[in-house]
Amino acid sequence: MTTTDETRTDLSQEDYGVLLGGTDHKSVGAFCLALAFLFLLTGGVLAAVFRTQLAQPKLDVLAHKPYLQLLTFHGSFSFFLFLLPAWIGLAFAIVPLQLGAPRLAMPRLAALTAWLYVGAAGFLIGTAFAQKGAPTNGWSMDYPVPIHGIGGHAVDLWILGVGLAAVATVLGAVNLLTTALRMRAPGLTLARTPMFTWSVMVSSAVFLLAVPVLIAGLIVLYVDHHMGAHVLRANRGGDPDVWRTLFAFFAYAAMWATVFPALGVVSEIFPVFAKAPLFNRKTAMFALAAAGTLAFLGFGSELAGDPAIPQTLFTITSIMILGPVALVMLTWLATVALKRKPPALKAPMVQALGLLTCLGLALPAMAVMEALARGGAGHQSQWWVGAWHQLLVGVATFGILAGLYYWAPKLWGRHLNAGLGSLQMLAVVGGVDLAFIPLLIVGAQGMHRRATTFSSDSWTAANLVATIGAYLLAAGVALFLLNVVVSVVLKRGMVATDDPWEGDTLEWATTSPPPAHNFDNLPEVRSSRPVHDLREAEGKDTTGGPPPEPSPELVEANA
Amino acid sequence: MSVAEETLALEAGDAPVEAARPRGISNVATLLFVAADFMVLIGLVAGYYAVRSQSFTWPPVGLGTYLPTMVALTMGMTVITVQWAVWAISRDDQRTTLAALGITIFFALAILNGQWYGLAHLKFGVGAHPYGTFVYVLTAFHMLNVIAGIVVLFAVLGRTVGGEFSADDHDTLTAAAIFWQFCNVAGLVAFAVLYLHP
Repeated sequence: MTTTDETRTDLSQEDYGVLLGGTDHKSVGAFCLALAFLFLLTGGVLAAVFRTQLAQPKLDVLAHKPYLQLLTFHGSFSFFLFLLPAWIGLAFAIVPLQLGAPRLAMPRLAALTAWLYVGAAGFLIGTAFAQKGAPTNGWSMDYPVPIHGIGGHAVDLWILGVGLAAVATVLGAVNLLTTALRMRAPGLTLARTPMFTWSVMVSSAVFLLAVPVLIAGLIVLYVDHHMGAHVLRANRGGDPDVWRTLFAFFAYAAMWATVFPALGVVSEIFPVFAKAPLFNRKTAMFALAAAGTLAFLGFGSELAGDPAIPQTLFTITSIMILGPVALVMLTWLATVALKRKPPALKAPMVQALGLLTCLGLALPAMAVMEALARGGAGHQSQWWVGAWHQLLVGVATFGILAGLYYWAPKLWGRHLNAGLGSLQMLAVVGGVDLAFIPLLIVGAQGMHRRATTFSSDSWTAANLVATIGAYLLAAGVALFLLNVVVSVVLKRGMVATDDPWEGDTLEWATTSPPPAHNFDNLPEVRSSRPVHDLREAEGKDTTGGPPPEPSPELVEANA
Repeated sequence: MSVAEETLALEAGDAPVEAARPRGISNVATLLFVAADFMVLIGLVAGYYAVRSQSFTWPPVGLGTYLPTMVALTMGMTVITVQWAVWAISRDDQRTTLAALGITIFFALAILNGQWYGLAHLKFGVGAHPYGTFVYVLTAFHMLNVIAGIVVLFAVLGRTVGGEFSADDHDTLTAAAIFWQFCNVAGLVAFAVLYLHP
């Protein structure tokens, strides 16, 4: 039909990439992801360097100040420039497809979000070139709180960089929530929303209400640091705990909010590869929402030692959040167990299983840390580093990798290499376990969270293992990036069919990769598994017939 | 085209799914953005009370309440005038909508002017004492929102002049009103915190 073809040409002209001002949600998402992985790599390399300093007692690889500078860069890059843009980017790319929508609710706002992250990256990198050198105060800017005069202009740049990343995250969350609330396909009720989209809604809601509190804190920090105010200076009528509390409210909620979408990704992968609906799906949805609510109630545990904080209350709430998270995990296990048939071990499922082992170890580590928070030892020790990294690397980061294996057909039209994927999964799981479990041991023995060296011989073995683990983890990330380069950039990956995994949700009803307008036809949505329903209906029509032949182009492309 | 018609058209293969803009996007997005903006205010107010609880004498200086009260009363008036604009457009009354928006923008400029005058005549700087810092920070936070609000109201005024809104289709105007009401809430909270219950 002429009209249709003309319209399509017009639309495809818009698909010239975000670099030139394009607003297609898939390219904006891919752009955010590319930026994020650049900073995962940078943050990872920095971690490997300062872990080298801690490989043996009393090493001189890094002096005190550069160690703390690298530590600050590592935390700021990994959270504000990797975890936040990576999840926002993956959600930008996938959520409209899962909803059967042609685009995000506000496409230009999405492009603005991506560019704000670039601006944030510019400011945060700029701190390295400030006159007095990069900040040494940690990613939470409280070691010590940089009141007027401490840290120089580097701290101003840090505030501006983190502020831009915060604004970008708020705008991304507004965009994703509006899309999920207003642009669902006919029949796709909230209760039928795919698990990944639901988890993105929960974490967007958390970002929406928690990240602005960081902005408030940054405003106070800026007037104190740059304009000579005394809100944070204890001997002039102020209180540094104002910044610490505002930051903790943000950080505790936002760190959990980067974990929820990973739970959403695995809640998509397990049912598809087990060929069964997610066991007790509504319970899983409710559990995610409950965890989202509890993410606002546990921040006081991050302030252990502050006498103004009702520690018992926060200990209870910060352990309670582990309950719904474990419940989501149990629905995955029940989905596979009740099928009584092992799931297909394809690349995304392999990654999901790796994530599952990390989550299983992270939950008890978090529980013990929160239970002992009252003593104040846990949160200022390496235990904090170990437990949170098991979650943030072993679950949040791993979830992004698993999601990319699962949705590679929709992002690039090709599969990532499965063999390389299995090797990378082993490296990441081994890396997370070796790098972070030993930190629990030395943390329990009192090694400080920001120690730049140590002298105790009894900590040597654990620290050496942790350093080897950090290298292994870096190798895992490098393997993943190699896989993307080989499979996607060099186009050596298998060309994907439209629905290679026999998926359940609407993104599998369109081509791989989808056209600029996403869908030519939408199947009718009558359950949470519309594409599965469609396949069943079609299967009934051709009972006993042979499976459809793959198209000649596909056979040729894969030859 | 309604959602049902849209779907039928798709199934018939008539057009790709680049359909009419779904309704209510600007309202929902504005509500969500306002929720986030409100959390910035909550964070600042929480910081204010945390510092206040540490202090023996608060506020360290007395501030005149005449000008802030006048500004707050003006905000109270725009609560009504901006709703008047929404009410008028939902009855397709373009001229009343224009009048209501014009009056709202006039009041908004008066609010901005009053606050600027107040800040410019304070007898202490931003770093004098924590109370003073919060007077500047909370007022400036409100003023930034008011400036954004005035830009939005002008944009909506222009579109009303161009006859873009009708009783059936005035999502953007409603969204502008939602944002302006948030500006009023932010201003009144700052007024209550700084002057009524310092």
